[in-house]
Amino acid sequence: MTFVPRDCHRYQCLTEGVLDEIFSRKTPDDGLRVLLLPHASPLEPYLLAIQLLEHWPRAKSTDFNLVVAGGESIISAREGIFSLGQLSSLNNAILRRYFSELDDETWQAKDYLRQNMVFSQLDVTDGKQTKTHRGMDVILCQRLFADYSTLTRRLVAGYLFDAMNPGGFLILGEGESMSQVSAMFTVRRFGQGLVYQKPTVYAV
Amino acid sequence: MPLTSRDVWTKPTSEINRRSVLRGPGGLLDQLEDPRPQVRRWAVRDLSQFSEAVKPLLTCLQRENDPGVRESIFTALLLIGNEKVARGVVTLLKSDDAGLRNGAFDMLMEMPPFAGLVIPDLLADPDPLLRVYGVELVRRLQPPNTVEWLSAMINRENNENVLASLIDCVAALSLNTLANKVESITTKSGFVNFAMQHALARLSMEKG
Repeated sequence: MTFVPRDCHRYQCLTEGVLDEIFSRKTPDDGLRVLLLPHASPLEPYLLAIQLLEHWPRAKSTDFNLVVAGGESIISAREGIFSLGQLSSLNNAILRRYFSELDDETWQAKDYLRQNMVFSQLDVTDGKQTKTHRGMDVILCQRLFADYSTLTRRLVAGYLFDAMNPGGFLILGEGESMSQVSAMFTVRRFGQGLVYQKPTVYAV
Repeated sequence: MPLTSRDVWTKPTSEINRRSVLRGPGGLLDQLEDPRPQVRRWAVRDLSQFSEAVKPLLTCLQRENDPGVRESIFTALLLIGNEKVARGVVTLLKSDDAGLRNGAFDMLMEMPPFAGLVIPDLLADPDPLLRVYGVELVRRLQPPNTVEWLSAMINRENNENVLASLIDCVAALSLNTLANKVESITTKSGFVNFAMQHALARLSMEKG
């Protein structure tokens, strides 16, 4: 059975090499720490977790901490309650495996999905706020840089760089690039996607 | 915990902040010499709060090889963003390092009010490459004195690369008031002549 979320390339590159490379530098007991900066849909963190469970064999045995950060609306995603329409991209088997039916039209993500997620408000343009998010193995964001001035793009790229572990990966939305601010990252290709890696030389 | 576990997740301890050393300007300047790029990067980031750090940051930039630290220095200088920064960055345009030259040019592009202060010096620099950079900044930023500066430069310029940039700039900005100036350029260079014909045709077409 195939599960393909809407934003498939950037999720697929996680399970097609990025996570394995991260764990090649970790001990078996180390966990995975991911920061997700959703663009629009509160469903994004759940789709990401499902992608890992369906396509990454280590998911069931790895400590997983997904930090979901964004504006005020992101807090409402904490409960994991969605209408059937919002979940229409999931086939019936996946829906029943990861969500519980509350009523005819409403479903809620199962506890074990939600318990691995931390939802927090975060303004990524504020260096003081981003300082509270450190040690990330992967950061996923989408259309984050489009609306900022060049200076703000530089600052945000720096904040995300500091939030990552050496060797960690920054994954943007499909077709997005970080021209002008990407010099500090190493550009890598995994599957069909380009990702940005923080050099391992940054270990202190 | 694994995704399939039902145990209550405990927030892991945040990464230990190892930067327990002095964060004043003196200590930060010392850390610009640290062999670890992360330490240098953090020092640069914190130095962006001190306007007196412009000179050491510019010095550091010229010897720094790590792209991440370089980027943080460019950002720190932009945050300080004053005339001293703009004048200091101009010196990097003479560097043999293409990354530094491009970074310096991008910085000037991002600080138009201060770039405007250094453009006249660039347009009058003895080095033709710096004059080309000056013309390119005029084309991109279009400062209020654009016509005046370009007009004066057409009168005195004799380097064919700079002349070609100048003519391209006049055409790109549709400066029809300078068409006669462009037409009056006398040169034996086929390259400059081609640029002139192309620019005049473009200006004429846009005028018509």
